[in-house]
Amino acid sequence: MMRMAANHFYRAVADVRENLGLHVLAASTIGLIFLLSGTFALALENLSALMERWHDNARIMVYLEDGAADEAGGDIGSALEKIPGVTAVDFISAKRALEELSGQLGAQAGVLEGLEENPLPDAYELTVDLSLGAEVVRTAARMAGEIPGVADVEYGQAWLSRFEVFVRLFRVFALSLGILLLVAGVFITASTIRLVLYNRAEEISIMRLVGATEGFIRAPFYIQGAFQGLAGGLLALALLAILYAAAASGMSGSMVLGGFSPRFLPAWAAAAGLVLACATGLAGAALTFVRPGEGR
Amino acid sequence: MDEHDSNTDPIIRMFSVGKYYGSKAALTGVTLDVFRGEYVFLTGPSGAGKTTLLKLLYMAEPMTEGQILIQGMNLSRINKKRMPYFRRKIGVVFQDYKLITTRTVYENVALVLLAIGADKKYIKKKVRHVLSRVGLEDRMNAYPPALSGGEQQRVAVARALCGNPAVVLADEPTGNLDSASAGLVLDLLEGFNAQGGTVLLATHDESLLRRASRILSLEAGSLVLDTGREDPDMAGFGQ
Ligand SMILES: Nc1ncnc2c1ncn2[C@@H]1O[C@H](COP(=O)(O)OP(=O)(O)OP(=O)(O)O)[C@@H](O)[C@H]1O
Ligand SMILES: [Mg+2]
Repeated sequence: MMRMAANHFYRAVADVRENLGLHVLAASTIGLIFLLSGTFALALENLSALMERWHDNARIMVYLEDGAADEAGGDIGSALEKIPGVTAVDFISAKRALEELSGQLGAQAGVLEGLEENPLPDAYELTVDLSLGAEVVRTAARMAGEIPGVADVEYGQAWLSRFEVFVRLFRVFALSLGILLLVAGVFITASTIRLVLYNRAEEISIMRLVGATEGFIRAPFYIQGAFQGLAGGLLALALLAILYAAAASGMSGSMVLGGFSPRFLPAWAAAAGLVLACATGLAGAALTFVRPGEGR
Repeated sequence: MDEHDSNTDPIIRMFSVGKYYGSKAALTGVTLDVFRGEYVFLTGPSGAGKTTLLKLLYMAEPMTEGQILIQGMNLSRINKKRMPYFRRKIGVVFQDYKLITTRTVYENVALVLLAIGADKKYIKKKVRHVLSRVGLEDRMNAYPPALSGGEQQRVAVARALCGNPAVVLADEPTGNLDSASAGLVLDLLEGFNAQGGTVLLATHDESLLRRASRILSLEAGSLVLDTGREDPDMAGFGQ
């Protein structure tokens, strides 16, 4: 068994040597395919992480009706505190809101001078614990909206869910593109292996005549397919790591991302990618032998 | 060797075997027995069906009708999966040698043993042995195109013999060789026969027939003459 395996491997290596250019080309193409897929996976990974982070710090703004704070301010505040998932309730009076706004405007604060009365409502800012999932924010917001005296609830839902939709679409897009690319990879391996097979056609027919089994004949080609895939996968992973390192160093601590630091693919995903690359090559090799009506 | 004992055991049996290529009959109604240890010449004019008969025996072509048994195995019951194992019992020598031109002489012969998963040491010993038997031990590392036709055919014989087959089928093994080289190849096959191996050799070279112990003659796909195993004399030949 080991002896056979060694022999298959030896023959596969001989084939790779004799068709080195072809194999390098195929492995590079598979590498490119997996680099592209890997880039998508990496982008998704980080978008999801970013989204989770925003969720984790979910804030809900609860705007009150005019005068409601004076009439039932305390009741509203304690009602808000009772909403499940709410960890902090902070009252922001219209006055304080205006002060903060003028602070944010800085030199342009003059535009506020002309206001006859404060246009901003009183509000509560709720902090929600989102370790339980995004749904908690929605429920909390709905419950806050039902409290008497509450005029409006805003929690960036529109924005966040638009982002969620985008990420979901992106995931579907990346997945279909990935599958398409994977199929392309299978065909690329198949066509290169077919070329090697073609170079060996005479030898293979002779091997059949002297009693070699199909398994014996095919094993080196499966090894070559797996090798192509694995080499492509490793190439993709290495390039992805390099690209990631370059991009991450430019991004780390960026204010735009609110201190979010990007992360690389988890080890299991990288390993799964390599297995998938290997499987792509194997599938390509298998496809080579799928020829209906092949001789007895 | 004790011919009496082994001769009672038919190693190849054909019953009304026919082979059609489309509507063209290449072989019709061939019935014959070849016994263990026989050295049989298969002769007949070009197109008589000699190659076709051999091809049916090593399963390069499926037969159209009839039955063939080799060592008691019914060929029509051997499926694709078992065919390699069946073929290992048969050594084949082709007129055009069919050596792998990109492999050395050694590798060409060793392939047969590699394919059955033989041990490396054994392969080395065995291949050297058969190559020395055909007188080509010193050309072990040469590539076939660097050999003469006669030498290439001897490599092919070595390859056919190294798997210890029960039967060797040879299709015009001397067709491309001068008489000296042809003599060497026939000597090798006779040597295999002398050790108890069965040989079925197709040729249309009548000058070789004097070396035959039994002659089968085909004409237009039919068996028209069988000198029989009890009658190595060629008295009946020449109709
Ligand atoms: N693959 C094929 N397709 C169609 N007809 C074939 C095929 N192979 C052989 N034939 C026909 O079958 C008949 C027998 O051919 P075969 O090759 O067995 O003759 P042969 O006795 O070996 O002749 P030769 O002495 O010239 O080698 C011939 O008429 C040939 O044309
Ligand atoms: Mg012929």
